[in-house]
Amino acid sequence: MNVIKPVSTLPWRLELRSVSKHYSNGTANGVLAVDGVDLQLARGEIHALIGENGAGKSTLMKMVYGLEQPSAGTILLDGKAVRFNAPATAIAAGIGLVPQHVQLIASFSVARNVVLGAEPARLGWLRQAEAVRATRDLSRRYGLEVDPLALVASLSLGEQQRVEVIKALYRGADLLMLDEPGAVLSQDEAVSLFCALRALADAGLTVLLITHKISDVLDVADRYTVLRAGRVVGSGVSAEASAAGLASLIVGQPVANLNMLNTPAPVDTAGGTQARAAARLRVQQLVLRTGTAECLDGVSFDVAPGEILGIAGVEGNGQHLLAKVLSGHAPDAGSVGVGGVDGIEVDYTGAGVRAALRCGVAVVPADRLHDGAAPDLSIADNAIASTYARAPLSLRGWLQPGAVDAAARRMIAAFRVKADGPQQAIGTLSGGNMQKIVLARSLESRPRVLVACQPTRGVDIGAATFLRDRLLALREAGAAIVLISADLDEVLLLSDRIAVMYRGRIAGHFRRGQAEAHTLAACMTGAHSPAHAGPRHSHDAALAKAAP
Amino acid sequence: MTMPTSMTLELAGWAGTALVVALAVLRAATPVMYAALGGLLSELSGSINVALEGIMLVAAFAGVIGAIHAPAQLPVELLPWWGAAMGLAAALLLAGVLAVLHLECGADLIVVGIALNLLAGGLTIFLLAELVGDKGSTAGIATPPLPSLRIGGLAGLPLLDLLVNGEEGRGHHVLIWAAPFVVGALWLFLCHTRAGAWLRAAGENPAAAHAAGIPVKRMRYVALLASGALAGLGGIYLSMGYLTLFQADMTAGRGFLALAAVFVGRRSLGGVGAAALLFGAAAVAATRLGTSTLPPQLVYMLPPALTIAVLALTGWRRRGRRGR
Amino acid sequence: MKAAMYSLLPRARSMRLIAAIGVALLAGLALMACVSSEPLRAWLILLTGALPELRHGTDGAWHWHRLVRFGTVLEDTVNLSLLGLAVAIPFRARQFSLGADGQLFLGALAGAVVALYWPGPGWLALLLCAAAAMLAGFLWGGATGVLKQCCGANEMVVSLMLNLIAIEFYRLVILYCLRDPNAGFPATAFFPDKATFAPLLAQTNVTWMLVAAPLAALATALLLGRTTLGYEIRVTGSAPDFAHAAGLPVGRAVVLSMALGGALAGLAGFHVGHALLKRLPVDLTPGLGLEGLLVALLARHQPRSVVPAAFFYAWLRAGGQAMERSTDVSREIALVIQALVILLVVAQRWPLAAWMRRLAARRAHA
Repeated sequence: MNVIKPVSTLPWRLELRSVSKHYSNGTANGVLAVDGVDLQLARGEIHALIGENGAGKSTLMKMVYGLEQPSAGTILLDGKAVRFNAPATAIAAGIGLVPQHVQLIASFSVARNVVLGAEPARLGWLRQAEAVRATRDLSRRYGLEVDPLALVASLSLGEQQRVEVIKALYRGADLLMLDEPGAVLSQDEAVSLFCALRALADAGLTVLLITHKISDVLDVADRYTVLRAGRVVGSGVSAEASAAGLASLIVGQPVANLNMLNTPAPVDTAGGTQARAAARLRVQQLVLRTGTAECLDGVSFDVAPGEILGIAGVEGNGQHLLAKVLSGHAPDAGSVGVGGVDGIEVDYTGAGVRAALRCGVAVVPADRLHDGAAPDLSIADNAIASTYARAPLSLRGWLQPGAVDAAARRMIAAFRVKADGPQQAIGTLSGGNMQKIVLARSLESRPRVLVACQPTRGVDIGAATFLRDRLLALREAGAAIVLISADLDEVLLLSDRIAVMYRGRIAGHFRRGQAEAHTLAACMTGAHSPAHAGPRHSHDAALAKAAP
Repeated sequence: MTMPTSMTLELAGWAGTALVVALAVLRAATPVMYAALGGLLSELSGSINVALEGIMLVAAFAGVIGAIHAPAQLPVELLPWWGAAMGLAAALLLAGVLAVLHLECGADLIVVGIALNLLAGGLTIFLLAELVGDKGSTAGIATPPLPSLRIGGLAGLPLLDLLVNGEEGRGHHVLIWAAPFVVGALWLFLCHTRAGAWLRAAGENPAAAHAAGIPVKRMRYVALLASGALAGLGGIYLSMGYLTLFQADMTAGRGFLALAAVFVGRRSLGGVGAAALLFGAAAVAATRLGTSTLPPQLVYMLPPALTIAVLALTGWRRRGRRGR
Repeated sequence: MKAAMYSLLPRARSMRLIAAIGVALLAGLALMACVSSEPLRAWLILLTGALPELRHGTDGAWHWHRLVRFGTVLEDTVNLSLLGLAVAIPFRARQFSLGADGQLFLGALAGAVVALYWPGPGWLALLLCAAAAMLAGFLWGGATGVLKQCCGANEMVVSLMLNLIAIEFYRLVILYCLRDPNAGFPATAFFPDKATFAPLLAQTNVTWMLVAAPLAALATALLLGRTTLGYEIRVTGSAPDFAHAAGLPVGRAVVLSMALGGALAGLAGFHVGHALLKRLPVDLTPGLGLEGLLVALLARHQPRSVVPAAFFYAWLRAGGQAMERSTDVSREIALVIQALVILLVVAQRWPLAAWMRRLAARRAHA
């Protein structure tokens, strides 16, 4: 299968020369998201652009698609310099994007979605048959099996993604960008997608895979480029790459022995009953299935008082659902319980948010603008949301304005929030300051268990450090903390134990000091499953399996 | 509403009575149906049109006044059509104000809708008093209704004649004839045209529609204006068909009944049409029962009670199906 | 920077309101000019007609004239304030309740029943009537809330339907149970004196209920700003998802907001029956609730602005009546002007500047 392609003398299909992107965010220097990146894509190749979250991949993709413009450098298409001011220009030039989150109309059929916005029509009258035919043609030609007449709402996420690919192809794309395609796919769906991508490349299209998974590079890409902190730190031919080498490039540290990945040292959860009997939070066999690929598939863990359990993992592997169940939402199966003061466990599975609060479980939500605060109300109003119903903030239904004001001021001072006063609308605060109030509010109710979801996302460095210190202080005070974060460094910094979530399960359990960033990163990307013991083998095996 | 001639009743028996009642239901439901179709269009595009009531009112008013004050050169037969055109224009104007205030000036859609309803109520009575001299209605002036159509040569088939030509063979109002065609045209528009697909996409998933290059704002404009036009047709029928005059506040909540029909009908053409017919039937039942021994107030309570019951039931079942 | 913008907003908002009132009044003048032969005079009477006059009498002393008209302004202010608050409270929980009419009718009815059949001491009569009226409104408003919470039924449509039911029920009871055989038209008997208010101003119906308006506004402001229920209502209205996530009792807040609004509308019914009319006719015209809605929209649903907005509306209404009596312009123009004010105030931005710029840019390109 490894055909040696002749060296082409034609210009690159897509070339980026010293492309940089600088965002000014109000501070002195701004943020340099992309710094002097060189990238070359040939016709008929599958190229993987790989890096961690925040490495600059999505910024690059936006620049190629016309959503952003480069601050410096040039983008060349077939040797000619181009500048895309809007996605429409990029689409007209033959660039297609398959987004990470599908953008389809659920109540329309597949064929209708494929032609959405560019429907074949005569004087406004839709030509359905033509749309169906075009969809079927594209679907058959590239092995993207999908029924043109099926309603999108009834499709799995993998099938919906296929519809997105066909949609881009219908618009005449011959450079296809896929944003984190594997994030939502099951193993089989990923294989079939990769076969389709291979068919596209063989037909002469260029495919750019934007991903954080090493397996994508090894399984399907021809060449790869590694981004770290906005710079290119490595590139080459996939056939010559190894998982360990790629991991070191991505993370920036040498990965000593890959075999370590195959046998992680799990933390003993079942045995040692004496040690675990004092668990403050006990989660058993949680199962929750939604219509999407994100699910909970038998999650169990417990957290002792005075301990921080970090849940690491790429978003979309079930963390959001886990947070929901921990805050009181009902799962399909399983239980959540909080150990009481007298050792008796209170099971609050599915009893609702207020029951969870009464058991002493506080949740810092991931989406603070939506679920964490009321942006139009004042800081004081937001700050008392968990404790307003009890003295001293209210007496028999009457709020005590003095106490409320004092409490708000206390929180502002203790958390060093930069605000004009408690009456300022919380929506006007910066992300970091708003998050400080959100955390302060959760801590006000003196929770026995705190679930912190993405606590420092979108927060500046100073505020993030402060928030982490407060989490550590809470741990010292004896609470059990579950830290759900996509920021690996944060998880490593704060957690006593780390559980990695992958596809709704705990894929690995580590104690502090047992795991380093690359181990965890590999676990998070599913690289430590036996199928990826070496480069390229799995791809051939998969092709052999898929061949009719 | 005239009673059928005894001859017709004798000929047709119970089938005839049923048909007569059905025709009455159709007549009562038509204004609500048109407005509900308008409400459905705007709801599908993602904007709820609360001003249906006001739009119907101004259309009813402008229709009558337009017919009275038509240009002198117009032949007599065209007077009501001129009035209808004026009514449509007034409806489009009000809907346009709603669209601009919401889409360009960022005002809250429901608040603007309610304010426009209030404006329409006050403006119509004011202009009625100024132009006609009577604050209650135009009863003193002969206002021409839109014509009714009848199909001749059906004397041999009494039931069919009754169905097609109504009681006393006067035929059905042109807007009643038009209603099924309008429903059909809307169905074709929504399911088989590109603009209809764009409209539905813009309402269901504006982000996806925008990413696909669909002009979402323009679609919302089109939907709001079209919903105004349809509600205008309902209003025109009220003052130039159902009755042949304009009365102050003659819509009497039909615009909100239309909204209820949109909610009950679950955003589908069939459901909305059925709900509108149901509300029409309730109104007819109320008037029929009003001649019985029950106190009339009790009877007038039935249509709104039925509306609430239907709304509550469909909402409750939807909740149960979705799960808490 | 953002904080500065927010502190500027109230001042900018009141400037906007004044500008909107000015523009709407001028638009009214323009409309009058289209239909009337003496628009300017009519317009001035509209603006000043409610004023009582102080004239030097033949006996050498100063006398107030046209007090009756001014009295109507005060009476209407009371009604409209209560009805405006009845809409404002649910609105703070993001509920659009249109049911004030029905709650008013039922409140008036409940008060009448107590007034006509209360055998006990006189001093308790008024209090009990008021309590009965508020209770009737509370329950009827709560019904809308319960239907919204349990069945997700749209509160606009439900409250309107409940209006119709309430009005018919009112008529039913008056015609068949409370009808006074001696009256010339279908109505209840006159309420006994112990259950009515004595007028404060001669020849008007301005009574002690005048203080009810600002008191109710104060109570509403206190409720929303100082009680836990008011806090729950405000958070539910401002950010419903956050309210759910924080464990606030959202359902209870929604139902109670509508119920409390209903109670105030019931109190307005009590005012109509016991202070203004002193008996209940069967043909009491519905529509006051809609005017209360207008007042609430004018006041931007702020309790402290409801009384001034109600006064403004009542003023224009009385002026309109005076204008109708002495000129050829009918009084509904006042309604039109009020609706225009709301439309002008509710817009968040006026893209005129942006349109100008775009036009200029297009012309420059061409």
